Amino acid sequence: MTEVKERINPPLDAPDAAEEQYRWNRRYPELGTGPITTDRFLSEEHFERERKLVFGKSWLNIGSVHDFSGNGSFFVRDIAVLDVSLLVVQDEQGTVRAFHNVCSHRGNKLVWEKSGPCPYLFACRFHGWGYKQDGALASVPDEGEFHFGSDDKNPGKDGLGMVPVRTEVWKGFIFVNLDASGTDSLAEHLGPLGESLKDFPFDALELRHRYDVSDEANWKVILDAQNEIYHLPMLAPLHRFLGGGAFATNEDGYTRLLDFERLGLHTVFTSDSDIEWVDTPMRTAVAKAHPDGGLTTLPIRGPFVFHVLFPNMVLGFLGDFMFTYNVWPESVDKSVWEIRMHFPRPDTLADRVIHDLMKVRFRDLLCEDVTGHAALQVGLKSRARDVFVVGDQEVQIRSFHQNLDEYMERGNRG
Amino acid sequence: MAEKTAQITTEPAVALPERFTGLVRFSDWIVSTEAGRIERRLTVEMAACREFYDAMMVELDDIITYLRTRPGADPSPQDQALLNLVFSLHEVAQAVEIYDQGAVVDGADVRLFTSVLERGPVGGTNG
Repeated sequence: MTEVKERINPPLDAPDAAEEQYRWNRRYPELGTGPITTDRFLSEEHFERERKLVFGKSWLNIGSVHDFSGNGSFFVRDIAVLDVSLLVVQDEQGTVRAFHNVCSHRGNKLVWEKSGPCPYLFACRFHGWGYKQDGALASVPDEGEFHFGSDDKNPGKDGLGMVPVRTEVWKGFIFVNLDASGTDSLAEHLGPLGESLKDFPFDALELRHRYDVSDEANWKVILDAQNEIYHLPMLAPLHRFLGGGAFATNEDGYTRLLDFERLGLHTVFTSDSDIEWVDTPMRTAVAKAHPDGGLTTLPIRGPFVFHVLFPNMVLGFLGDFMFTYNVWPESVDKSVWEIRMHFPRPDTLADRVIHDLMKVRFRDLLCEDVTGHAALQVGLKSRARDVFVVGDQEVQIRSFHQNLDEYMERGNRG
Repeated sequence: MAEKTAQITTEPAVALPERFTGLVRFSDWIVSTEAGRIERRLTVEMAACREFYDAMMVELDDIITYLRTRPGADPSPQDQALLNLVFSLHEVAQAVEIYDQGAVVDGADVRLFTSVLERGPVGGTNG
């Protein structure tokens, strides 16, 4: 396993390569250069197809083992787009399972608390049916009055446990798949992306902050807006400040991707920082007083790395921390943007200063973004244009929508 | 403006490590939650924010040097108070260095971004 402080920095591309026009289109000509339709962000019909063919069939990240308070604990995950409530349990041995959070008796939502230590039994509030951590039905009040296993139409008590959902854990991230008939494994779904991060020391990072932000935009508007850095020098004050060199720019001041790769259904792009970049007095003062300039360097490909895990997760790295996004659609034009920030365990309290400073900056950056998302949705909704254009420095967006279309096509063919 | 600062909840006074007792005049900035620190950033007058920022920037080198000697886990109440003071500086630095005001310019209300981990039990909240 690669150690946290061991940085892997590939040689930077020569500046002339970075300035090659249409560089990403040359690498991925199959993505074409055409526009993207507006309708896909607005149409109820398109949203229904996504619900059925994407969210209903794909592996979905619903959090990580950090969301448990330890072995023998649970959390409830409601997924609005699929109209399901899941009970996610980490048992005493550390095994993670997810179940439909539904009592087998009359269909009541079983657990109403958001999270906590597992009770002796998960007991339904309606009539007190109780379930074990492995989902088995253990206790039925007045059991003798039921007809368990009396004939073919009445399942026995052992057939009335909570209904399990396909669940797999990768590097501590918990994924579920609501397609009970599906056969693809999580490893197959992650494909080359999983392979590219197989040695990353996720264990060295702790969940420190989580923001659940209501966002008045289609889920893909949010993903697309985050999935490029072309906007950095323009959008808002902190974006403009960081676009001045924290993210590498060419001599005209426009950001240039250090690299972009398609990894099966997923993508990754990276950005370098400009060498002459001068940070704020606050950040400079903290870095100066700290060994190694205050950076706990993670083994990542550049100062900024942004993976999109199809369909709705982002796994990113910025300097010395890791962030994840889960963009959960609630309706065609409303979503919850779930943001988590993970940091290495602090060696000293000075590390906590560095981490909090990064958190505050990143949070304010996203606070600028969220206003942009809502404005995008308003603009698209006017249907002033049927399509919009994207540039070569936004190749990530083109790739995402092509993957989405192809995924839905395959799902339609069954 | 009195009606604005009245929204801020004052926390019980916590002592700072001995060598930093000179900063006790800023004890209103020793705030233990992100939500509380954001509230101060948004409601304290910019002049007072700048005074806090200027004074803290002078002390920062000493503070970081001291914190480098303290183990990363289980801080004492005094060290935690010092951390909370520096965390408030981080908020105010955004106001002073980037926005020239407490609120995020051209952005949403930053109160939307208070960590849900500070608010008690968390589940999947969408839906």
